[in-house]
Amino acid sequence: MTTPTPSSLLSEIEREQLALYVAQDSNGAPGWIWPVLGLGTALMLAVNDLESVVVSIVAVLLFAALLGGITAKLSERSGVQVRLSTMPPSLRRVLLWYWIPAGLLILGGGFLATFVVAHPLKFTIFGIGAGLVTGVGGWLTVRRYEARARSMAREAELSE
Amino acid sequence: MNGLDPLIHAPKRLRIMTILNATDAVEFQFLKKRLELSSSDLSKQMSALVDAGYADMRKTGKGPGSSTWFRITRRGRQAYKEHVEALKALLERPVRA
Repeated sequence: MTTPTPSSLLSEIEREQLALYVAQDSNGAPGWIWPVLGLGTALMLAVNDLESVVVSIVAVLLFAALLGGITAKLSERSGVQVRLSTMPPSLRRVLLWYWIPAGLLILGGGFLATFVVAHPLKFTIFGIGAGLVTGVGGWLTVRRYEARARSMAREAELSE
Repeated sequence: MNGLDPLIHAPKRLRIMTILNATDAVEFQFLKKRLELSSSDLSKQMSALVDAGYADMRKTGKGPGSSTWFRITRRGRQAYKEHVEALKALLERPVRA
């Protein structure tokens, strides 16, 4: 049995880190998550057209509970909570390239719907848009993340 | 030992610490499957890391549905970082002819 060299140990560390992201996605989110999140986002925003503070607050709380429940279930199912700060930069970029524009779109849309647009269904329209950004955008981002993780693992000569 | 941490340097524990360092938390069964270790072997490795203060353990649920989660401590993260830096420093050492 040969003694591992510092070089081989560092290579092993890199491979282990990459394998982690591939392994995480093999227990990935079930397909129904994204339509549910998209619909939840759309409904939470659309109810604001009813102009009832109580309904709006209840909607936000229910959505927060849905989001929390899904996050907890996914984490439990995958058995791992990866850390953003130690993620390889190219993988992190895939996530940030979705989160930042999506966040800005939703905030911007929310601002416009609240203060600028005068239409009886402005929040419903905004909600549909935000729901699509969340549901479709989220699904596409996860697919890109998985493809990138597998590509990096292949480059590091891993099999999963 | 050239700045290398003897606890982390063992191959199985080095892999475990690499995973812990890259995560906020990881579940026992995930580690077991990922590292292809038996339950008793993994328990032994994790006990060594927890006893050294490099990892924390948390149990969730009760009975058959319960699970055990681990996360690296600040001390463990620092020790792992120093160990990896010591490995890199060894790479940069001139080789004796």
